[in-house]
Amino acid sequence: MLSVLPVAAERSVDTVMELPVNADRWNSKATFRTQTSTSLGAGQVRLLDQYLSDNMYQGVAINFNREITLGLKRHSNMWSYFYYSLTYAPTYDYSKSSITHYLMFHFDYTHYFKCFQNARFSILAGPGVYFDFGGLYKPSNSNNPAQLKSNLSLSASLQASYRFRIKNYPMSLRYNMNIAMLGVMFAPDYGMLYYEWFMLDQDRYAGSFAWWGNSWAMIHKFSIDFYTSRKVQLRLSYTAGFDGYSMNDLESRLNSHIISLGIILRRAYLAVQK
Amino acid sequence: MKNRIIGILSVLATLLLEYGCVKDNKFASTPQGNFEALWTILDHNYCFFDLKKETFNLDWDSVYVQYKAQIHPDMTERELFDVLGSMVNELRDGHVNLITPFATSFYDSFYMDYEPNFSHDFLARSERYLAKDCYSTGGMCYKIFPDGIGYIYYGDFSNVLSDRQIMEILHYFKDCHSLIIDIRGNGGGNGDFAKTLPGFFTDKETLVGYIRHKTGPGRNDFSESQSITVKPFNGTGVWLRPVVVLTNRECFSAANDFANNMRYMPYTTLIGQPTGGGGGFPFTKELPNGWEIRLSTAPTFDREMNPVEQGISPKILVKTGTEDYITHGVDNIIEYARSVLFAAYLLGYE
Repeated sequence: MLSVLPVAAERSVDTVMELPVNADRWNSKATFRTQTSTSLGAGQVRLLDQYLSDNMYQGVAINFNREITLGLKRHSNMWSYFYYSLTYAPTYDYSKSSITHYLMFHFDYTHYFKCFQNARFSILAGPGVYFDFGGLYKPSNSNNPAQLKSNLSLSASLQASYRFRIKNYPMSLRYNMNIAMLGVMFAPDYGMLYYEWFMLDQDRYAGSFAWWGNSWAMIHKFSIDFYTSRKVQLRLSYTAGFDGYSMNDLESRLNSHIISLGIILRRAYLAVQK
Repeated sequence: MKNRIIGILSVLATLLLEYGCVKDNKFASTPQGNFEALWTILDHNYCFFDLKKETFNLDWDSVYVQYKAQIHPDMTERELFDVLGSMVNELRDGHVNLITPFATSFYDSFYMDYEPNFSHDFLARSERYLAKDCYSTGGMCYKIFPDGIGYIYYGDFSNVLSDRQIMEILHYFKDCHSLIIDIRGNGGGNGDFAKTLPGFFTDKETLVGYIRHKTGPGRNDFSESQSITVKPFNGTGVWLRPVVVLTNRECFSAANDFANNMRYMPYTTLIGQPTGGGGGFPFTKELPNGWEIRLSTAPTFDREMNPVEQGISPKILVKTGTEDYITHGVDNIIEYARSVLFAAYLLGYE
């Protein structure tokens, strides 16, 4: 029986061996194949949240993100993809007189299926889970000082990648799109007070059914991977996130544009047959 | 294949165009735009139009016409502030403030048009009251009068006490037969405290009022009424003896709520003058130029569903003033409360 182990636990379990890998092709004996990218980035956040203000706010964002791709040799047409990121931005309105803090944790998981592949080009697509949790905090507001941002949805993803070489250096271009399709999200009633939530325990207005008719949440990632050594590559990526909703006579839009630079570690593991 | 890729790219481009833009405020940051934005924010969010029409014959649409005529493109920021500040004061609501970097408008006629019935300066300097044998913590000043009555002056709900501080104060009063809580001059602060502090004075959960909130931009778009109850501290309450709460017109917002909540507690009586009101929880919104407008958006009611926006009348109306202070050296409202409590003590709390 094959012991299927979570990625985070692989190194500490005796039955899993780490194998050297080729930068271009993963070892054919490998049972697990993982590619981990850890990046730091910066960019811009623009937001409008009518629960807090009718004015647009924008500011410089800092971002940490991590991507993990996990493949199984047994199912060479399928991949598991995990992405999570944490973004913070202090944002200001046009007059610079007021600040709104933006903090957002994002996680998505996608189960990819191979749709098309040739020597250079591949397209993957699949369903997944899209999760956002964070908020906006505007200290100068009285009974509407903050806005919780939370979204848990089923999602659809698409990934296209193209491999090429410049001189003898292998590189790959990748585009990844993840769109929340159907789920639940937090959306306050038009004039709902935080006093009502926290002091009167009246939270019946908080949860809303989210679908394309009232909300949207999507992430687009463009990246280019540079080969630097047998095990390590660099990844330069641009990530655009678009979140928003229009319900309860309120509109919310959160757009982020992040450029990040990270390190990719590629590993292949052999899970011992028992 | 080529057509498919072009199709996919077209869909992506459409999505990015549709969702990639964040629209700014629909009003321009000009005197006219800021005026329109302010009037519209109030029109869509303010919660007491019907009450103000009934009480003051306010016509918000006429206000628009009246003040629009005073707006011109080359007016200075201070001129604009003067006009907009006057416009929001038409609502006669102390919770409606126009906040700018150089000034904040404030409607104060809810207490300035009345006798103060209170002088903190007099109390602070009088040995009969706060100048002698008085302790102070967390914004509360307290002492025990010679007739065995505990006295607390609490002038600002922005100073929130911990449960332990309150317990320590009530423990200090353990040998007192009754208690006076003087909140005259208290302009409010933390609304939570107006709900939690009364819990020390009851042993059972008590309905004290209701709250609603706006559910849309229509002037009568309100949620259903949600009940507000006071729960006894630690399930049993702490002080189950007579209490008098002293009020005047300066008691506003959270102090107004506190007076409302306390009057439903057992053994509690309100004495003094009507409170100043402020029964709408305020929200904050912004104008295109970054100025902020604070406005009442969620009305509160007493447990008979009467709005508390215009204030609460005490059970016993008593006045005091300069003559009492100078001629007799007493605060008549405190002395009246002491006499009532002492008489009740002698009569066995009847």
